[in-house]
Amino acid sequence: MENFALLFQGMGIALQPYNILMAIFGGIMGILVGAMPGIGSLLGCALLLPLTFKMNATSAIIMLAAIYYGNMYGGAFSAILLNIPGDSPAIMTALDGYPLTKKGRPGAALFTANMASFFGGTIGILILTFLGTALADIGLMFGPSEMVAVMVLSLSSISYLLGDSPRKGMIATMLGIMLATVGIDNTTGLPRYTFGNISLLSGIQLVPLVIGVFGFSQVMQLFSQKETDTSELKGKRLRLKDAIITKKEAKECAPSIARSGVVGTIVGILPGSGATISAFLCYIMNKKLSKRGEEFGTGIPEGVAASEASNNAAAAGAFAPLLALGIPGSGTAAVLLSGLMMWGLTPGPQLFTEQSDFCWGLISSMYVGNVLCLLIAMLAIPMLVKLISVPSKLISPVVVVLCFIGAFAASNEMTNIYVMLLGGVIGYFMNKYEYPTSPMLLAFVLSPTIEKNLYRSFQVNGGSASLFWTKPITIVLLLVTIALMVAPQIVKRVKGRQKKV
Amino acid sequence: MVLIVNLVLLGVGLYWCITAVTTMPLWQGISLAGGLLPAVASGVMVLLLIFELLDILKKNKINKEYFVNSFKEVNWQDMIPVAVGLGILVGIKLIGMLLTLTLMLFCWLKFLSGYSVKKSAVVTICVMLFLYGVFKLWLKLPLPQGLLGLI
Repeated sequence: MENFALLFQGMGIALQPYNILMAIFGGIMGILVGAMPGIGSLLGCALLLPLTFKMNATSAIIMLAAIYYGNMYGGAFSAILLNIPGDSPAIMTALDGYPLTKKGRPGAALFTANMASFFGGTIGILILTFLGTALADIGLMFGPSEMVAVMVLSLSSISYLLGDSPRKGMIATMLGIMLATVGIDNTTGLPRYTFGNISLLSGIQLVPLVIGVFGFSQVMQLFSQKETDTSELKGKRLRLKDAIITKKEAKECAPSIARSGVVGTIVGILPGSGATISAFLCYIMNKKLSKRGEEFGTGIPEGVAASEASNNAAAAGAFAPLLALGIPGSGTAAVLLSGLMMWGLTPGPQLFTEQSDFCWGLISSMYVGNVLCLLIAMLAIPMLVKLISVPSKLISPVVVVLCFIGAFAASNEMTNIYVMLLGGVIGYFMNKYEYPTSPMLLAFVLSPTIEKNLYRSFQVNGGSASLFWTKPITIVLLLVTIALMVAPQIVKRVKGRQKKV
Repeated sequence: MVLIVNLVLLGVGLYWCITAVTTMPLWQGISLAGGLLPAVASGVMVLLLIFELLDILKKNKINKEYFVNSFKEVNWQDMIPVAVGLGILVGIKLIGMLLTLTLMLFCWLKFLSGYSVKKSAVVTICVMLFLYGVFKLWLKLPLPQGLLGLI
């Protein structure tokens, strides 16, 4: 009940005209960015982060959060209409969405995607409302050794879950930690890897790095790529009345949405999993559980609903560890974390008690923002169809301009532009040779906190490492980390032996 | 090319590790010091990269032809944005950020994307006016003015 009281208190903040305006702006930007293939929520948030410099923390996070979940709505558009997912979580949406378009029912697919996104997102926000504080209460029991263990678990899970090769994921993670060590060392006050550059004494800034790795590298990749064929969209007019699905189809979608909403949120909470994995898992789960499971992939609204409900739920779920423990579960959440730090907030268990207005204002705004996103997505269908047709040769130079100004704006220094360019080249080669970039980003964000907590762990224990095997929570977390690293190898070997037999 | 990328990463890892071990304290009093984390991270990365390199060496025959093919594998057209980026850096030093980006946007649209002068100019003016309004007028960002700022 206390959570409801706090939620209503938060509504007072969320419904302030300026915050509603920010939620609408964020929602529109998120949907636009999500609809355009190649630009995801991560880049969208990173490029728009400088706009929040003049805002208060609550309005700023409301806008960025709206971009994040608005992106999940937008990603479905190009997946359904062109078979090209705007963002990776929409990959599974294309499996049924595009065949529905081929059957002459693109409106029905978009309507289902929007409604499923809304209900999935609402389930996710509802769970976040209750779980956020519970997770923060657990977090309050965490000392420095537990924090180190939970962050090591986050880093290992993301490097093992993303990409095809865990080894490459680990290399990317280590690279992220190395980059984070540039600057003054907080424990001894000595400069590390600054190469005599005064600007680097404060370390590499996250925003220019993200803009480079995810934005500039994308421009490089798009440069020689063939333009997306949008000819099939020419002359296509979508009207809302053609989009409504039948009562029978709506009834069939409801259980899938409910299942995907709950499972998607839980997957979103787990570090490293995020919206893409949740969409994949929920699609497979619903394919097995649904009465029409065999028809999944042939173009049924239920398939679209399963994937879209889960990715929106996961986006909401990702806020629970971010706010309660200060652990981002995905690249976009890492940018949001850097935003929180930039506005002078310290994410972690104390945030819910010390910055209650901020937390509940954000959670309440997500309810409001979700409704607004649904309205925008429904009303913007005709415009978005046109937007998807904008060629990358027009978008690329504009993104380059944004990359330069956005990187500079992070701290008004030219060094940021060098970092952005270097990040772009690193990101390009990492993508080309299948090194996942998200683990690098997460390691970059988390390693200063790991180092600080590791330092404290030894300090409080007189230089002994026994804290790591005498505290139950730490032991459990470290054992889970080891299991996560060892299990895939064992499964691989067992499968290999079975094949031989 | 993957071999070269891994070798570059190995070089960076080794530099990081050697610098940490030789110039930074790893342990001070009863707790870790600044050199420990970079030493461990880069050490693990070097180890993993050695395994990665061994895999590549197992799968490929490394000779002159391999390196020639590696360079052919890269689409050097993709590097044009980097070249443009370096040009922008020089431009910023000379004529400032806003003017450089305006020129770059127009030239890219006209010459690289192949739009007409009119369309390129309209897009450039719209985008740059919007950015000027947001970053210069609203956020009051002190955008670099280059040598022009001295006049």
